[in-house]
Amino acid sequence: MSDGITRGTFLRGAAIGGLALAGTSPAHATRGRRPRKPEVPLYDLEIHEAAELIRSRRISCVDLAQAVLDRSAAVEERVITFALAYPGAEVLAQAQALDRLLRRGRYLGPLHGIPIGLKDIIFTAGKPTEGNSVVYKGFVPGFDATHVAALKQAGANIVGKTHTIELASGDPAPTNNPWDIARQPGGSSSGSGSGTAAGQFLAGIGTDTRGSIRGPSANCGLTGYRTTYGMVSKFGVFPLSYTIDNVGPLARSALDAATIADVIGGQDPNDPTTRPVARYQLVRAVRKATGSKPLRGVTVGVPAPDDYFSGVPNDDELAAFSDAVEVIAGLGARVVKVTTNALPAPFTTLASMTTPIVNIEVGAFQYRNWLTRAEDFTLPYRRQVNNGNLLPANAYVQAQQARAMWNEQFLAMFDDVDVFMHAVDNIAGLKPPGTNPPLPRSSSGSKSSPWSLTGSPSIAVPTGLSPTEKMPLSMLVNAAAGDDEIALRVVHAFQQATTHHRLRPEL
Amino acid sequence: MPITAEEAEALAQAIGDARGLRAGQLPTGSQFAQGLNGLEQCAGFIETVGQDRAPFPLTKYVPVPVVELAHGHDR
Repeated sequence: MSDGITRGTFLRGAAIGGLALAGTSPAHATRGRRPRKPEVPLYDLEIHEAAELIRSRRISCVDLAQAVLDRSAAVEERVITFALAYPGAEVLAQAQALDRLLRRGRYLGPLHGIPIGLKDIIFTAGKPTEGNSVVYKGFVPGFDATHVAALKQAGANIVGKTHTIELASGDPAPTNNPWDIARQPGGSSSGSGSGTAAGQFLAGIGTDTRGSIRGPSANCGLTGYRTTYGMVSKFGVFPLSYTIDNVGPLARSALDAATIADVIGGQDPNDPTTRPVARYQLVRAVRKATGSKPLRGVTVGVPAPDDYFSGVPNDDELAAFSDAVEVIAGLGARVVKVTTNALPAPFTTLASMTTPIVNIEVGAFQYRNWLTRAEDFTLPYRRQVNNGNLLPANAYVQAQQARAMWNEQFLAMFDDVDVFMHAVDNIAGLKPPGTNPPLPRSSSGSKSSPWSLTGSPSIAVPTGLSPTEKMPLSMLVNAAAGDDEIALRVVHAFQQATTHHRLRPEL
Repeated sequence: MPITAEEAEALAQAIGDARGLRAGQLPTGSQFAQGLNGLEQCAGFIETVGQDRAPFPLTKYVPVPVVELAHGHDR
């Protein structure tokens, strides 16, 4: 807030109709009151804040849609979020339709009128879905992915398809990091991260195999939620590794992430890997984190010295994580050091499991294309497909068997703790031809793939800005598969006590 | 002994020749080696886990040396 008015003050004011909002017309924003100088751009709001304003008719869906369209007009050239930005007239027409529903007394829920961006490997009926790949150039699905249909039914206003690393694992997207356009946004859900951070929509939907939601979320200062495996249907999403792939939100808070997960989660007959849960009610659980000690009774594990998860070569990340642990303890949680069994002998790297699994599953998916037009894939993606189609079958079987047994050993830590959190090295690296002294920083999260193998909920959480580079810092909060509620509750309590997640890039 | 990238590249080339694959369909030596060495590590890890913690039957057969009975031994 530029003039010292807090977001909470703004919302309380807005709720009684007293404050004008950037990007809104006075008629919509200040019913019965004199317009005042805009205080908070609508495109910067969290979903639950915007939803309250829409539900109470303080702003219209058109106001919000116009705000993000104007914002995109101002920043897209620098950020390059969209593979396909939907025409403004179409986005506004959808907003008008949603406003008409409101006038008739039909409120569809907390995503009513909320602008959302979709990673361009997610099928959208009648809209190109190309995945940044020559092979799928011009592909127009005839149906919406299951979770897209759920978003639309809940009133979300889809504003476009966002750039991705080729098919989630190939050549980088052209996207830039809104915090510093010379830097990478991370991937593979690059545009869903950049667009949410830049205010081009209020949340993005991404996919995560080895860290593709959490990496760009960390790089862009967002709350990135890899849901428990099988919570969200993957029907209508280009697969990379169907036994690891995950669909989830890149959002501005745990509450927003839970709001989206409640809408898109649930069993889908078209995806047999979904869990037998009809509807999730994560928001209700998250909101239970109230009072001065909202984490009383919760045990939080952190890496013991020399543990696999303590090895993050970045002092800024470690310092921010240390501060975050203090906050968590102050909220009533019992914090214990844990020595994990992440890398048991004879493993020297967990890639021994992930590489065969991911390569062979993507190789199987692309088998026909590989036979006829392998050279149309970019080299990083093609090499994985090639590897998958040449490795012996027992490489896959042994990797999946080892994964099941490793899971049981590794996850035994959750007999003693409710969640386990650790720092990651995610300060966004410079894009070529820039160099990254002193560290060759990756574009997506270090130490994130173990939580992919376990199918755990794993949430990237902003922990501040690096003192020198002024780039977002992040940690991961993880739990056993199915324990999303407690992971989100811890993150929500942390975000109620801190303001890191409210920082926005200056563009 | 882990397979080297050079050995893996030669193996990939031989498989490619046998299957009539193009050069563009072959993995790099280092990638193929990572997959093959991963297989070894996964197999080694599985051997460290007992049946009571395995989610599938770990049927094992460990060959024992065959001892030639002494000629004329009275059974």
